[in-house]
Amino acid sequence: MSGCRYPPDIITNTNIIGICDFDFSFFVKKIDTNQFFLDYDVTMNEESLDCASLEKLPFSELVRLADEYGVDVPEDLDRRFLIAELLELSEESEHLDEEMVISSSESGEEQPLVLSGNFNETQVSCVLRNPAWLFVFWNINDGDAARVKESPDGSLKLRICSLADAHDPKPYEAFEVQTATQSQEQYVLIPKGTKFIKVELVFMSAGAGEVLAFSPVVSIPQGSTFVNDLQPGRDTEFSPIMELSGMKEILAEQYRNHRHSFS
Amino acid sequence: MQKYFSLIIKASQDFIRHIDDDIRQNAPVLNSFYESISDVYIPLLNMLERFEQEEKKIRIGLVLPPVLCNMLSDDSLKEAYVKWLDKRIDLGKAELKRNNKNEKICNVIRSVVEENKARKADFVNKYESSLIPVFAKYMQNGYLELLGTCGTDIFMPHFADMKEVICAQIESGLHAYRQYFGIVPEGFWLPELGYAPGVEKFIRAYGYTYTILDSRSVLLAEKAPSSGIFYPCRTDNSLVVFARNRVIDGELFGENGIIFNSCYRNQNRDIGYESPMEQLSLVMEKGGIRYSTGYKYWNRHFSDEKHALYNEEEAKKQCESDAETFVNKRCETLAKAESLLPDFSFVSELCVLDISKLSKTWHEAMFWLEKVLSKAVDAGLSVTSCDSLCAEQYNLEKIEPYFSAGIGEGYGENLLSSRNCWMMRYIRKNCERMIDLAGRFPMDTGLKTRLLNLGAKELMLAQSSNLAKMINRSEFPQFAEKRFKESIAAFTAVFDSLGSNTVSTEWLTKLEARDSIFPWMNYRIFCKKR
Repeated sequence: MSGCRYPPDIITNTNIIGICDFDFSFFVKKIDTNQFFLDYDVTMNEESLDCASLEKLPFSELVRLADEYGVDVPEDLDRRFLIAELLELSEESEHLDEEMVISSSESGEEQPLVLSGNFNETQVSCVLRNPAWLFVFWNINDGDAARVKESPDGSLKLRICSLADAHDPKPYEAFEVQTATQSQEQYVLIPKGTKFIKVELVFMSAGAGEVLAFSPVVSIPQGSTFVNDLQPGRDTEFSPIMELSGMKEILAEQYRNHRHSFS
Repeated sequence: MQKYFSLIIKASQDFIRHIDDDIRQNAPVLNSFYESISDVYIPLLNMLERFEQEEKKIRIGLVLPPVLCNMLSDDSLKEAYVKWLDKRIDLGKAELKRNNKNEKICNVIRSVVEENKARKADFVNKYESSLIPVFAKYMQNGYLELLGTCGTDIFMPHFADMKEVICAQIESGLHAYRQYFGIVPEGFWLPELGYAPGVEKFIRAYGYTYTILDSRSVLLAEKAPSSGIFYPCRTDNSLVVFARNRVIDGELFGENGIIFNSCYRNQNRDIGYESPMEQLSLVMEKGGIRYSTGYKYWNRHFSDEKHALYNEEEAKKQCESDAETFVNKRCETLAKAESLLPDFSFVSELCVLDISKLSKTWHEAMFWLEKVLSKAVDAGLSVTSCDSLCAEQYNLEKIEPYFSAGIGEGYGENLLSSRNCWMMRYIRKNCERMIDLAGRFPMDTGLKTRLLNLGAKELMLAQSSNLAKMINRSEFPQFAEKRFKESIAAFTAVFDSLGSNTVSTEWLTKLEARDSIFPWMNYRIFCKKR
């Protein structure tokens, strides 16, 4: 079992563009992404490409831009999805960091608003993204940050602890996830069968680990056995009323979207 | 056996600042709000008026979030809406001149102009620029059941461990419904149908009788109810639970969904997105962001330009046919449910529509909806709201619903995606701070109270899942991001001011005027619960 930066549905450079309320996932890239980045950088240098500038363009210009770089645009595509795709590609090409600055729509019009994401506290928190994935985020106070930086082999890890009971002091199972440099957030796949979980932020140095902070215990929802036992082609017998209620459709959707996570 | 078809219409709205410079900066999102008045709220009231005149026995559930009620009651927005309609009418006249050689396009334009004129007459004359009292009238007359909801559209599963936050949101929603409609609703709308085990305790504690869950929550419970989704069940604390039939979503938006019929109006091809800016100067600022104008001349027939011109009559005929198919499907499903549940006193099917979203995707949605309701009654179904189906509240089968949501991939994943997950650390940290502040200043008055109330409002605005959704969907993402950051920055300023015991009254007064929502706010709703 290991942690992962992103769940399958939001891994970058996948075929699916993202998550939306309606199913627009048919909008698929057919491009050599690396070549696109190279080409696109040229355009980017000539004229700044941000959301506001794209939203000023007529649809025909957006389509032309997309065509130029090999993005397949279905006839029925919503304008905002096309803009989102172009932006995503430009962001990837620029390797933007996660500094939170609002880009100004008009130069000199308004100063961008920057939020400080560091509250000078060492804290780790987690929120369920769904019953299979945990979103973990943390802060480090200045003192701890200095220790990590000054330690030659120092690093931060997340220790994912599965508990049998919410009040258990010790986990029955735990694994560690290396955090990405500069990042302060991570998606973690929850071990199958876990009922309670907590996350520790661990400072690793000289082969030893020191727990800097730990999260509250999170209860993992326990549902029907069908949720965690998805298998292709399995023809499960349901009562007629459950079938009429749409159980098969829900499980098919569950399999389609979550087969990598739930089973 | 009685067969019930229940419909719940959910409207969405985020708070848009609308004074001074904000009006120009927020023009695209304000445009979207005015479109909702024209395309949803007025047509909805007109539909109820016709049902009342025809004495049709129909009662539907409606969710009008407090933020929407606030904006619909705002005098400056009411005036701005009328001006917006005038501009659209003028744009239509200009379009008639520009297209004067194409009679078929002119017919489409005339129809849009007439529609805008009719909306203006309805809004100004018939409804006296105040839609909220009209909704209240139809509630009193029994055509509407108004469901309560949170102050803003908070996604509860992300805050399930912060009971003060959940309670503050529920309490603030209740205040709103008492203020706007003078009622305490029976039904509670979970924003985005986001359910996590435990939230039912808070909902029930505020006196609500029932809530709606996604069918996934009910069917994937460890022990699913024996009646499936066709009869209500209850949680351990006797909160009645109705499951929406998510199969209906497939019928509407699925691969061969109704809304994609080629004769329906193409909502993506608007002159606002296609014409040179010079031709749009009546409604848009040159060099500004493009947005919809309502002048859409094409249908969804993509392969043959000859047949691509929008034909309203043809679309309405198709709507009739689609409504009939839809109702037949409901009748068929309920008849099957009846035969499978012979010992139950009734069977019901619940359809939930996010009308704000639906109307933007499907121009004919309101026309279709009226036909559906009308045909359902004609077909012998009882079209009623959920509050009238709770008589057996304490005898219903008990379930422990599963974590689920009506968005994302079943669990609200789109609210915690790579595009918007950065928001979470700010919201949760400030939730912790707000709870702490409410405890530290429980009896304060004067400037501190004003500061704390402002902080509470800003936090609730930042908690709205609509902002995260907009960023994820790239729907005016710069607006959503700015709106979120401004609220977080304002809350942080409140927090710092209370810490340092200094405040700029000018700043405070300005922000109170700008974020005029929740005038009844009392920050103590965030106090720790014993």
